[in-house]
Amino acid sequence: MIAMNYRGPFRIRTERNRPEPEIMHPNDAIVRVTRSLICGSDLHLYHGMVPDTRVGMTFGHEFTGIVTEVGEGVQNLKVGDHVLVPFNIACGACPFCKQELFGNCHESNPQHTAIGGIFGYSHAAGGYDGGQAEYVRVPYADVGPTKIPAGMNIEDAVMLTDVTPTGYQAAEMGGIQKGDTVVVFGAGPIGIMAARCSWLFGAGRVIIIDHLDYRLEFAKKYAMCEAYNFKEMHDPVVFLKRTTDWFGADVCIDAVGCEAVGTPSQDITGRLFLQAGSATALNWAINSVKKGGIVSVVGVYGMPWNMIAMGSVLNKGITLRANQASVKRLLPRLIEHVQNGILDPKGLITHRIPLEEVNEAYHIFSAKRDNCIKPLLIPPTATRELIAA
Amino acid sequence: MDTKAKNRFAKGSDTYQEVLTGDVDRKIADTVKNIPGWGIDADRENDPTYPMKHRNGADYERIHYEAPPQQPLTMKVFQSIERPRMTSVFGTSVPPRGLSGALRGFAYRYSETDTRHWMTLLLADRVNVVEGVIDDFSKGIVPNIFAERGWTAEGNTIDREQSKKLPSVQRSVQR
Repeated sequence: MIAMNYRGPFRIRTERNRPEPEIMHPNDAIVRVTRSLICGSDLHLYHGMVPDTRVGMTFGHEFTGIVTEVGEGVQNLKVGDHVLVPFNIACGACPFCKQELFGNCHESNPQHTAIGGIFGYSHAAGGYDGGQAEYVRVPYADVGPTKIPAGMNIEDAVMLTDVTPTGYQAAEMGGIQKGDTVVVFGAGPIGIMAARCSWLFGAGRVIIIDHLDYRLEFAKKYAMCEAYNFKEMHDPVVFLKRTTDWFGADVCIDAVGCEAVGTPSQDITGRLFLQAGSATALNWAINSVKKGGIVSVVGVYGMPWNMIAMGSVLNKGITLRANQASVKRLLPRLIEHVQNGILDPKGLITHRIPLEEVNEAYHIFSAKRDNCIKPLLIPPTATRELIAA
Repeated sequence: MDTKAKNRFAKGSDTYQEVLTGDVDRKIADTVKNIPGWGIDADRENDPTYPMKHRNGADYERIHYEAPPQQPLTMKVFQSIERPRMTSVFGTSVPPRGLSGALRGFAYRYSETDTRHWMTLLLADRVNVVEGVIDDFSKGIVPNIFAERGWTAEGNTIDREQSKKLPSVQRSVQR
Protein backbone atom coordinates (compact mmCIF):
# COMPACT_ATOMS: atom_id res chain seq x y z
CA MET A 1 0.00 0.00 0.00
CA ILE A 2 0.96 3.66 -0.25
CA ALA A 3 1.94 5.32 3.01
CA MET A 4 3.70 8.40 4.23
CA ASN A 5 7.19 7.54 5.53
CA TYR A 6 9.05 9.86 7.93
CA ARG A 7 12.78 9.98 7.22
CA GLY A 8 13.89 12.74 9.62
CA PRO A 9 13.15 16.42 10.32
CA PHE A 10 11.62 18.06 7.22
CA ARG A 11 11.96 14.83 5.24
CA ILE A 12 8.96 12.81 4.07
CA ARG A 13 8.84 10.03 1.52
CA THR A 14 5.91 8.36 -0.20
CA GLU A 15 6.37 4.65 0.32
CA ARG A 16 4.57 2.54 -2.26
CA ASN A 17 5.21 -0.97 -1.01
CA ARG A 18 4.39 -0.73 2.69
CA PRO A 19 2.79 -3.99 3.92
CA GLU A 20 -0.87 -3.59 4.82
CA PRO A 21 -1.63 -3.59 8.56
CA GLU A 22 -2.98 -6.72 10.25
CA ILE A 23 -5.36 -7.43 13.09
CA MET A 24 -3.19 -7.72 16.20
CA HIS A 25 -5.85 -7.73 18.91
CA PRO A 26 -9.44 -9.07 19.07
CA ASN A 27 -10.80 -5.51 19.32
CA ASP A 28 -8.92 -4.22 16.26
CA ALA A 29 -10.34 -3.20 12.91
CA ILE A 30 -8.58 -2.48 9.64
CA VAL A 31 -9.83 0.60 7.84
CA ARG A 32 -9.29 1.64 4.22
CA VAL A 33 -8.66 5.36 4.44
CA THR A 34 -10.95 7.60 2.41
CA ARG A 35 -9.65 10.98 3.58
CA SER A 36 -6.91 12.12 5.91
CA LEU A 37 -5.71 15.51 7.02
CA ILE A 38 -2.40 16.98 8.01
CA CYS A 39 -2.74 18.57 11.42
CA GLY A 40 -0.77 21.55 12.68
CA SER A 41 0.53 19.26 15.41
CA ASP A 42 1.88 16.89 12.73
CA LEU A 43 4.22 19.73 11.90
CA HIS A 44 5.78 19.43 15.36
CA LEU A 45 6.67 15.85 14.43
CA TYR A 46 7.79 16.92 10.95
CA HIS A 47 10.07 19.53 12.49
CA GLY A 48 11.64 16.98 14.84
CA MET A 49 10.23 18.58 17.99
CA VAL A 50 8.58 15.50 19.52
CA PRO A 51 10.82 12.96 21.30
CA ASP A 52 10.78 9.32 20.13
CA THR A 53 9.65 10.06 16.59
CA ARG A 54 11.22 7.15 14.74
CA VAL A 55 12.38 7.01 11.15
CA GLY A 56 9.97 4.89 9.11
CA MET A 57 6.82 5.88 10.96
CA THR A 58 3.57 6.94 9.24
CA PHE A 59 1.91 10.04 10.65
CA GLY A 60 -1.73 11.03 10.52
CA HIS A 61 -4.32 11.14 13.31
CA GLU A 62 -7.23 12.68 11.41
CA PHE A 63 -8.88 10.26 9.01
CA THR A 64 -12.05 8.61 7.81
CA GLY A 65 -12.23 5.19 6.26
CA ILE A 66 -14.22 2.12 5.34
CA VAL A 67 -13.91 -0.94 7.58
CA THR A 68 -12.37 -3.84 5.65
CA GLU A 69 -11.72 -6.29 8.47
CA VAL A 70 -12.69 -6.63 12.12
CA GLY A 71 -11.25 -8.65 15.01
CA GLU A 72 -13.30 -11.37 16.67
CA GLY A 73 -14.15 -9.15 19.63
CA VAL A 74 -15.60 -6.26 17.63
CA GLN A 75 -19.37 -6.01 17.93
CA ASN A 76 -20.43 -2.52 16.91
CA LEU A 77 -18.73 -2.29 13.53
CA LYS A 78 -18.95 -4.45 10.44
CA VAL A 79 -17.07 -4.64 7.17
CA GLY A 80 -18.23 -1.86 4.86
CA ASP A 81 -19.06 0.69 7.56
CA HIS A 82 -17.78 4.16 6.72
CA VAL A 83 -16.37 5.62 9.92
CA LEU A 84 -14.68 8.71 11.22
CA VAL A 85 -11.90 7.79 13.62
CA PRO A 86 -11.17 10.08 16.59
CA PHE A 87 -7.49 10.81 17.03
CA ASN A 88 -7.56 9.44 20.59
CA ILE A 89 -7.08 5.69 20.97
CA ALA A 90 -9.35 4.89 23.90
CA CYS A 91 -10.22 1.58 25.55
CA GLY A 92 -13.54 2.67 27.05
CA ALA A 93 -12.85 0.57 30.16
CA CYS A 94 -10.23 2.36 32.24
CA PRO A 95 -11.28 4.88 34.92
CA PHE A 96 -10.41 7.81 32.68
CA CYS A 97 -12.38 6.58 29.68
CA LYS A 98 -15.30 5.76 31.95
CA GLN A 99 -15.33 9.40 32.98
CA GLU A 100 -15.28 10.45 29.31
CA LEU A 101 -11.66 11.56 29.42
CA PHE A 102 -11.07 9.67 26.17
CA GLY A 103 -7.93 11.69 25.48
CA ASN A 104 -6.37 10.32 28.65
CA CYS A 105 -6.87 6.57 28.20
CA HIS A 106 -4.69 4.46 30.47
CA GLU A 107 -4.64 1.36 28.25
CA SER A 108 -3.29 2.61 24.94
CA ASN A 109 0.20 4.00 25.49
CA PRO A 110 2.75 1.77 27.25
CA GLN A 111 5.63 4.19 26.75
CA HIS A 112 4.22 7.14 28.68
CA THR A 113 1.55 7.74 31.28
CA ALA A 114 1.11 11.47 30.64
CA ILE A 115 -0.56 10.95 27.29
CA GLY A 116 -2.97 8.42 25.85
CA GLY A 117 -2.43 6.67 22.56
CA ILE A 118 -2.72 8.75 19.40
CA PHE A 119 -2.60 7.51 15.82
CA GLY A 120 0.64 8.36 14.03
CA TYR A 121 2.01 10.59 16.72
CA SER A 122 5.42 9.14 17.63
CA HIS A 123 6.23 6.39 20.08
CA ALA A 124 5.79 8.94 22.84
CA ALA A 125 2.07 8.52 22.08
CA GLY A 126 2.00 4.76 21.75
CA GLY A 127 3.86 4.01 18.51
CA TYR A 128 0.83 3.54 16.25
CA ASP A 129 1.05 4.09 12.52
CA GLY A 130 -1.34 6.77 11.34
CA GLY A 131 -3.86 7.53 8.65
CA GLN A 132 -1.70 9.16 5.99
CA ALA A 133 -1.78 5.81 4.25
CA GLU A 134 -4.22 3.63 2.37
CA TYR A 135 -4.94 1.33 5.31
CA VAL A 136 -4.73 1.70 9.09
CA ARG A 137 -4.99 -0.60 12.06
CA VAL A 138 -7.59 0.84 14.45
CA PRO A 139 -7.42 -0.56 18.02
CA TYR A 140 -10.50 -0.58 20.27
CA ALA A 141 -12.71 -0.41 17.20
CA ASP A 142 -15.90 -0.58 19.27
CA VAL A 143 -15.02 2.58 21.21
CA GLY A 144 -13.63 5.38 19.05
CA PRO A 145 -14.72 4.88 15.44
CA THR A 146 -18.12 6.38 14.72
CA LYS A 147 -20.26 5.64 11.69
CA ILE A 148 -20.56 8.70 9.50
CA PRO A 149 -24.21 9.75 9.34
CA ALA A 150 -25.79 9.06 5.97
CA GLY A 151 -25.58 12.03 3.67
CA MET A 152 -22.74 13.74 5.50
CA ASN A 153 -19.93 15.02 3.33
CA ILE A 154 -16.83 13.05 4.27
CA GLU A 155 -14.79 16.25 4.31
CA ASP A 156 -17.00 17.40 7.18
CA ALA A 157 -16.63 13.98 8.78
CA VAL A 158 -12.84 13.96 8.66
CA MET A 159 -12.79 17.44 10.18
CA LEU A 160 -14.70 15.97 13.14
CA THR A 161 -11.82 13.67 14.07
CA ASP A 162 -9.71 16.42 15.66
CA VAL A 163 -9.92 20.02 14.42
CA THR A 164 -13.54 20.69 15.23
CA PRO A 165 -13.63 18.94 18.64
CA THR A 166 -10.32 20.49 19.67
CA GLY A 167 -11.44 23.99 18.69
CA TYR A 168 -14.78 23.42 20.39
CA GLN A 169 -13.21 22.07 23.57
CA ALA A 170 -10.81 25.03 23.65
CA ALA A 171 -13.83 27.31 23.86
CA GLU A 172 -15.64 24.98 26.25
CA MET A 173 -12.67 24.86 28.64
CA GLY A 174 -12.64 28.66 28.59
CA GLY A 175 -15.88 28.59 30.59
CA ILE A 176 -17.13 31.44 28.39
CA GLN A 177 -20.03 33.37 29.88
CA LYS A 178 -22.44 35.45 27.80
CA GLY A 179 -20.78 38.70 26.80
CA ASP A 180 -17.22 37.60 27.56
CA THR A 181 -14.28 38.84 25.52
CA VAL A 182 -12.31 35.89 24.17
CA VAL A 183 -8.83 36.19 22.70
CA VAL A 184 -7.51 33.32 20.59
CA PHE A 185 -3.78 33.13 19.93
CA GLY A 186 -3.06 31.46 16.61
CA ALA A 187 -5.09 31.64 13.40
CA GLY A 188 -4.35 28.10 12.30
CA PRO A 189 -7.23 25.64 11.78
CA ILE A 190 -7.66 24.99 15.52
CA GLY A 191 -7.52 28.68 16.44
CA ILE A 192 -10.01 29.61 13.75
CA MET A 193 -12.35 26.84 14.89
CA ALA A 194 -11.94 27.90 18.54
CA ALA A 195 -12.85 31.46 17.57
CA ARG A 196 -15.88 30.23 15.63
CA CYS A 197 -17.00 28.01 18.52
CA SER A 198 -16.55 30.78 21.10
CA TRP A 199 -19.70 32.39 19.67
CA LEU A 200 -21.64 29.18 20.42
CA PHE A 201 -20.94 29.72 24.12
CA GLY A 202 -22.18 33.30 24.05
CA ALA A 203 -19.00 35.34 23.68
CA GLY A 204 -19.61 39.05 23.25
CA ARG A 205 -16.38 39.71 21.45
CA VAL A 206 -13.86 37.38 19.82
CA ILE A 207 -10.36 38.48 18.85
CA ILE A 208 -7.79 36.37 17.02
CA ILE A 209 -4.07 37.13 16.98
CA ASP A 210 -1.49 35.85 14.50
CA HIS A 211 1.33 37.15 12.31
CA LEU A 212 0.20 35.87 8.91
CA ASP A 213 -2.12 38.25 7.10
CA TYR A 214 -3.71 35.61 4.86
CA ARG A 215 -4.71 33.56 7.87
CA LEU A 216 -6.10 36.59 9.66
CA GLU A 217 -8.17 37.48 6.60
CA PHE A 218 -9.47 33.92 6.45
CA ALA A 219 -10.26 33.90 10.18
CA LYS A 220 -12.07 37.22 9.99
CA LYS A 221 -14.48 35.82 7.39
CA TYR A 222 -14.80 32.24 8.61
CA ALA A 223 -15.07 32.94 12.34
CA MET A 224 -16.66 36.40 12.03
CA CYS A 225 -14.22 37.81 14.56
CA GLU A 226 -11.73 40.63 14.93
CA ALA A 227 -8.29 39.71 13.65
CA TYR A 228 -4.99 41.45 14.37
CA ASN A 229 -1.41 40.97 13.29
CA PHE A 230 0.93 41.12 16.30
CA LYS A 231 3.83 42.10 14.07
CA GLU A 232 2.10 45.44 13.59
CA MET A 233 2.01 46.02 17.34
CA HIS A 234 4.71 47.15 19.69
CA ASP A 235 3.45 44.67 22.27
CA PRO A 236 0.38 42.45 21.78
CA VAL A 237 -0.26 42.22 25.52
CA VAL A 238 -0.46 46.01 25.85
CA PHE A 239 -2.70 46.14 22.78
CA LEU A 240 -5.06 43.60 24.29
CA LYS A 241 -5.11 45.38 27.64
CA ARG A 242 -5.91 48.66 25.94
CA THR A 243 -8.72 47.15 23.91
CA THR A 244 -10.27 45.56 27.00
CA ASP A 245 -10.46 48.75 29.08
CA TRP A 246 -7.04 47.94 30.56
CA PHE A 247 -8.44 44.95 32.44
CA GLY A 248 -7.59 42.06 30.13
CA ALA A 249 -9.67 39.51 28.30
CA ASP A 250 -12.08 37.29 30.19
CA VAL A 251 -10.79 34.20 28.43
CA CYS A 252 -7.59 33.54 26.47
CA ILE A 253 -7.04 30.48 24.31
CA ASP A 254 -3.61 29.20 23.31
CA ALA A 255 -4.08 27.47 19.96
CA VAL A 256 -0.46 27.64 18.89
CA GLY A 257 1.67 25.40 21.07
CA CYS A 258 5.38 24.87 20.97
CA GLU A 259 6.31 26.59 17.74
CA ALA A 260 5.03 30.07 18.46
CA VAL A 261 7.06 33.02 17.21
CA GLY A 262 7.25 36.55 18.54
CA THR A 263 9.59 36.48 21.54
CA PRO A 264 13.31 36.11 20.69
CA SER A 265 14.31 34.58 24.03
CA GLN A 266 11.59 31.93 23.66
CA ASP A 267 12.47 31.30 20.01
CA ILE A 268 16.17 30.81 20.72
CA THR A 269 15.81 28.61 23.79
CA GLY A 270 13.16 26.58 21.98
CA ARG A 271 15.32 25.97 18.95
CA LEU A 272 18.26 24.98 21.13
CA PHE A 273 16.03 22.48 22.95
CA LEU A 274 16.67 24.28 26.22
CA GLN A 275 12.91 24.09 26.52
CA ALA A 276 10.25 22.14 24.64
CA GLY A 277 9.82 24.71 21.90
CA SER A 278 8.67 28.28 22.37
CA ALA A 279 5.93 29.15 24.85
CA THR A 280 5.31 32.66 23.53
CA ALA A 281 1.60 32.19 22.88
CA LEU A 282 0.98 30.73 26.33
CA ASN A 283 2.85 33.58 28.02
CA TRP A 284 0.90 36.15 26.05
CA ALA A 285 -2.32 34.38 27.03
CA ILE A 286 -1.37 34.42 30.71
CA ASN A 287 -0.41 38.08 30.57
CA SER A 288 -3.42 39.18 28.49
CA VAL A 289 -6.15 37.55 30.53
CA LYS A 290 -7.85 39.46 33.32
CA LYS A 291 -7.23 38.75 36.98
CA GLY A 292 -9.26 35.69 37.86
CA GLY A 293 -9.61 34.89 34.16
CA ILE A 294 -9.32 31.56 32.42
CA VAL A 295 -6.57 30.42 30.06
CA SER A 296 -7.48 27.44 27.92
CA VAL A 297 -4.63 25.54 26.28
CA VAL A 298 -5.00 23.22 23.29
CA GLY A 299 -1.72 24.09 21.59
CA VAL A 300 0.58 21.09 21.67
CA TYR A 301 3.74 21.28 23.76
CA GLY A 302 6.50 18.70 23.67
CA MET A 303 8.39 17.36 26.62
CA PRO A 304 9.81 17.95 29.15
CA TRP A 305 9.23 21.60 30.12
CA ASN A 306 8.56 25.18 29.05
CA MET A 307 9.34 28.58 30.47
CA ILE A 308 6.03 30.20 31.36
CA ALA A 309 5.06 33.07 33.63
CA MET A 310 3.96 30.95 36.56
CA GLY A 311 4.24 33.92 38.90
CA SER A 312 1.55 35.69 36.93
CA VAL A 313 -0.66 32.62 37.03
CA LEU A 314 -0.45 32.75 40.80
CA ASN A 315 -0.63 36.49 41.33
CA LYS A 316 -3.50 37.02 38.91
CA GLY A 317 -5.45 34.01 40.18
CA ILE A 318 -5.68 32.52 36.72
CA THR A 319 -7.37 29.22 36.09
CA LEU A 320 -5.31 27.24 33.62
CA ARG A 321 -7.25 24.54 31.78
CA ALA A 322 -5.85 22.16 29.21
CA ASN A 323 -6.35 18.74 27.69
CA GLN A 324 -6.29 16.77 24.51
CA ALA A 325 -9.78 16.96 23.08
CA SER A 326 -12.08 14.17 24.14
CA VAL A 327 -13.41 13.61 20.64
CA LYS A 328 -15.87 10.84 21.39
CA ARG A 329 -17.52 12.85 24.17
CA LEU A 330 -18.07 15.83 21.88
CA LEU A 331 -19.08 14.04 18.68
CA PRO A 332 -22.86 13.82 19.22
CA ARG A 333 -23.13 17.57 19.79
CA LEU A 334 -20.78 18.47 16.96
CA ILE A 335 -22.45 16.15 14.45
CA GLU A 336 -25.69 17.92 15.35
CA HIS A 337 -24.09 21.33 14.76
CA VAL A 338 -22.78 20.23 11.35
CA GLN A 339 -26.09 18.71 10.31
CA ASN A 340 -27.95 21.85 11.37
CA GLY A 341 -25.57 24.08 9.46
CA ILE A 342 -24.26 25.79 12.58
CA LEU A 343 -20.70 24.70 11.82
CA ASP A 344 -19.07 24.22 8.41
CA PRO A 345 -15.84 22.31 9.17
CA LYS A 346 -14.96 21.53 5.57
CA GLY A 347 -14.84 25.27 4.90
CA LEU A 348 -11.41 25.26 6.53
CA ILE A 349 -9.93 22.92 3.92
CA THR A 350 -7.96 24.88 1.36
CA HIS A 351 -5.87 22.18 -0.30
CA ARG A 352 -6.84 18.76 -1.62
CA ILE A 353 -3.74 16.81 -2.51
CA PRO A 354 -3.15 13.19 -3.60
CA LEU A 355 -1.63 11.02 -0.89
CA GLU A 356 1.22 10.25 -3.27
CA GLU A 357 2.32 13.89 -2.95
CA VAL A 358 2.33 13.94 0.84
CA ASN A 359 5.89 15.30 0.86
CA GLU A 360 4.75 18.39 -1.02
CA ALA A 361 1.67 18.73 1.16
CA TYR A 362 3.84 18.91 4.29
CA HIS A 363 6.11 21.48 2.72
CA ILE A 364 3.21 23.69 1.60
CA PHE A 365 1.60 23.54 5.04
CA SER A 366 4.84 23.96 6.98
CA ALA A 367 6.20 26.81 4.86
CA LYS A 368 2.75 28.51 4.76
CA ARG A 369 2.82 28.47 0.96
CA ASP A 370 -0.15 29.10 -1.30
CA ASN A 371 -2.32 30.59 1.48
CA CYS A 372 -2.64 27.14 3.02
CA ILE A 373 -4.96 26.74 6.01
CA LYS A 374 -5.72 23.01 6.03
CA PRO A 375 -4.47 20.35 3.59
CA LEU A 376 -6.49 17.21 2.87
CA LEU A 377 -4.93 14.03 1.50
CA ILE A 378 -6.86 11.80 -0.87
CA PRO A 379 -5.64 8.21 -1.30
CA PRO A 380 -5.73 6.93 -4.90
CA THR A 381 -8.16 4.20 -3.84
CA ALA A 382 -10.70 6.72 -2.55
CA THR A 383 -11.15 9.39 -5.18
CA ARG A 384 -14.79 8.44 -5.77
CA GLU A 385 -16.01 8.72 -2.20
CA LEU A 386 -17.49 12.12 -1.32
CA ILE A 387 -20.66 11.54 0.63
CA ALA A 388 -21.26 8.84 3.25
CA ALA A 389 -23.83 6.28 2.13
CA MET B 1 -4.28 -2.62 49.80
CA ASP B 2 -5.30 -5.41 52.20
CA THR B 3 -8.11 -7.88 51.54
CA LYS B 4 -10.45 -6.23 53.99
CA ALA B 5 -10.10 -2.92 52.28
CA LYS B 6 -10.58 -4.51 48.88
CA ASN B 7 -13.84 -6.09 50.00
CA ARG B 8 -14.97 -2.80 51.37
CA PHE B 9 -14.65 -1.27 47.92
CA ALA B 10 -16.04 -4.21 46.02
CA LYS B 11 -18.50 -3.53 43.27
CA GLY B 12 -22.06 -3.73 44.53
CA SER B 13 -21.18 -2.98 48.14
CA ASP B 14 -22.86 -0.16 50.04
CA THR B 15 -19.67 1.87 49.99
CA TYR B 16 -19.42 1.48 46.23
CA GLN B 17 -22.91 2.88 45.83
CA GLU B 18 -22.07 5.75 48.14
CA VAL B 19 -19.07 6.63 46.06
CA LEU B 20 -21.12 6.57 42.89
CA THR B 21 -23.47 9.07 44.44
CA GLY B 22 -20.54 11.15 45.58
CA ASP B 23 -21.34 11.00 49.28
CA VAL B 24 -18.26 9.19 50.48
CA ASP B 25 -14.66 9.07 49.39
CA ARG B 26 -13.63 5.55 50.28
CA LYS B 27 -9.95 6.30 49.96
CA ILE B 28 -10.13 8.33 53.13
CA ALA B 29 -9.43 6.41 56.31
CA ASP B 30 -12.01 6.51 59.07
CA THR B 31 -9.48 8.00 61.47
CA VAL B 32 -9.15 11.09 59.28
CA LYS B 33 -12.84 11.71 59.59
CA ASN B 34 -12.38 12.30 63.30
CA ILE B 35 -10.39 15.46 62.59
CA PRO B 36 -12.52 18.43 63.72
CA GLY B 37 -14.20 20.05 60.73
CA TRP B 38 -13.45 17.22 58.33
CA GLY B 39 -15.51 17.69 55.17
CA ILE B 40 -17.71 20.56 56.35
CA ASP B 41 -16.74 22.78 53.40
CA ALA B 42 -16.76 20.07 50.76
CA ASP B 43 -18.65 21.20 47.68
CA ARG B 44 -19.36 18.70 44.94
CA GLU B 45 -20.21 21.51 42.55
CA ASN B 46 -16.70 22.91 42.88
CA ASP B 47 -15.31 20.85 40.04
CA PRO B 48 -12.87 22.59 37.72
CA THR B 49 -12.77 19.56 35.46
CA TYR B 50 -16.40 20.03 34.39
CA PRO B 51 -17.51 19.40 31.66
CA MET B 52 -14.49 17.46 30.48
CA LYS B 53 -14.89 14.86 33.18
CA HIS B 54 -18.07 12.93 33.73
CA ARG B 55 -17.67 12.36 37.45
CA ASN B 56 -19.16 8.96 38.18
CA GLY B 57 -16.90 7.46 40.80
CA ALA B 58 -14.70 5.54 38.37
CA ASP B 59 -11.66 7.16 39.96
CA TYR B 60 -12.32 5.14 43.09
CA GLU B 61 -12.79 1.79 41.41
CA ARG B 62 -9.55 2.04 39.53
CA ILE B 63 -7.98 -1.07 40.97
CA HIS B 64 -11.03 -3.10 39.98
CA TYR B 65 -11.57 -2.09 36.39
CA GLU B 66 -11.54 -4.88 33.88
CA ALA B 67 -8.87 -4.12 31.31
CA PRO B 68 -9.42 -5.27 27.71
CA PRO B 69 -7.62 -8.45 26.57
CA GLN B 70 -3.86 -8.20 26.21
CA GLN B 71 -2.31 -7.74 22.76
CA PRO B 72 0.39 -10.40 22.28
CA LEU B 73 3.87 -9.00 22.62
CA THR B 74 5.73 -10.03 19.47
CA MET B 75 8.44 -7.39 19.39
CA LYS B 76 10.39 -5.13 21.69
CA VAL B 77 8.12 -2.42 23.08
CA PHE B 78 9.32 -0.09 25.80
CA GLN B 79 7.23 0.42 28.88
CA SER B 80 7.17 3.44 31.14
CA ILE B 81 8.54 2.68 34.61
CA GLU B 82 5.58 4.66 35.93
CA ARG B 83 3.20 1.83 35.14
CA PRO B 84 3.13 -1.71 36.55
CA ARG B 85 2.34 -3.57 33.32
CA MET B 86 2.01 -3.22 29.58
CA THR B 87 -1.12 -1.52 28.28
CA SER B 88 -3.74 -3.78 26.71
CA VAL B 89 -2.86 -2.53 23.23
CA PHE B 90 0.22 -0.82 21.86
CA GLY B 91 1.60 0.38 18.55
CA THR B 92 4.02 -1.66 16.50
CA SER B 93 5.10 0.99 14.05
CA VAL B 94 8.89 0.87 14.30
CA PRO B 95 10.55 -1.47 16.81
CA PRO B 96 13.73 -0.13 18.39
CA ARG B 97 16.99 -1.29 16.85
CA GLY B 98 20.62 -0.30 16.45
CA LEU B 99 22.32 2.42 18.42
CA SER B 100 19.16 4.53 18.52
CA GLY B 101 17.31 1.56 19.98
CA ALA B 102 19.95 1.16 22.68
CA LEU B 103 19.67 4.85 23.50
CA ARG B 104 15.90 4.59 23.70
CA GLY B 105 16.29 1.61 26.04
CA PHE B 106 18.46 3.77 28.27
CA ALA B 107 15.90 6.58 28.16
CA TYR B 108 13.06 4.31 29.24
CA ARG B 109 14.97 3.40 32.39
CA TYR B 110 14.00 6.83 33.70
CA SER B 111 10.62 8.29 34.51
CA GLU B 112 8.79 10.97 32.56
CA THR B 113 9.94 13.61 35.01
CA ASP B 114 13.61 12.90 34.42
CA THR B 115 15.60 15.02 31.97
CA ARG B 116 17.67 11.99 30.96
CA HIS B 117 14.50 10.35 29.66
CA TRP B 118 13.52 13.08 27.22
CA MET B 119 16.91 14.34 26.16
CA THR B 120 18.14 10.81 25.45
CA LEU B 121 15.07 10.19 23.32
CA LEU B 122 15.78 13.35 21.33
CA LEU B 123 19.40 12.24 20.87
CA ALA B 124 18.19 8.81 19.75
CA ASP B 125 15.92 10.49 17.19
CA ARG B 126 18.89 12.27 15.62
CA VAL B 127 21.00 9.09 15.61
CA ASN B 128 18.05 7.31 14.04
CA VAL B 129 18.07 9.77 11.11
CA VAL B 130 21.69 8.86 10.35
CA GLU B 131 20.80 5.16 10.67
CA GLY B 132 17.97 5.74 8.21
CA VAL B 133 20.33 7.16 5.61
CA ILE B 134 22.78 4.28 6.10
CA ASP B 135 19.91 1.83 5.79
CA ASP B 136 18.80 3.49 2.54
CA PHE B 137 22.28 3.22 1.04
CA SER B 138 22.56 -0.40 2.14
CA LYS B 139 19.40 -1.11 0.09
CA GLY B 140 20.69 0.84 -2.89
CA ILE B 141 18.38 3.79 -2.26
CA VAL B 142 19.84 7.28 -2.60
CA PRO B 143 17.62 9.66 -0.63
CA ASN B 144 16.22 12.40 -2.84
CA ILE B 145 16.47 15.20 -0.29
CA PHE B 146 14.98 17.75 -2.70
CA ALA B 147 11.81 15.68 -3.12
CA GLU B 148 11.68 14.53 0.50
CA ARG B 149 11.68 18.12 1.68
CA GLY B 150 8.76 18.81 -0.66
CA TRP B 151 10.59 21.52 -2.57
CA THR B 152 9.13 20.10 -5.77
CA ALA B 153 5.89 21.79 -4.69
CA GLU B 154 7.38 25.22 -5.26
CA GLY B 155 7.00 24.86 -9.05
CA ASN B 156 3.41 23.71 -8.76
CA THR B 157 2.00 26.83 -7.15
CA ILE B 158 0.57 28.19 -10.38
CA ASP B 159 -1.09 24.87 -11.17
CA ARG B 160 -2.58 24.81 -7.71
CA GLU B 161 -3.99 28.31 -8.08
CA GLN B 162 -5.72 27.27 -11.30
CA SER B 163 -6.93 24.00 -9.92
CA LYS B 164 -8.60 25.70 -6.95
CA LYS B 165 -11.54 26.37 -9.28
CA LEU B 166 -12.08 22.65 -9.76
CA PRO B 167 -14.04 20.35 -7.42
CA SER B 168 -11.86 18.49 -5.00
CA VAL B 169 -11.75 15.07 -6.61
CA GLN B 170 -11.24 16.42 -10.12
CA ARG B 171 -8.42 18.48 -8.77
CA SER B 172 -6.74 15.55 -7.15
CA VAL B 173 -7.11 13.42 -10.25
CA GLN B 174 -5.87 16.20 -12.46
CA ARG B 175 -2.61 16.56 -10.60
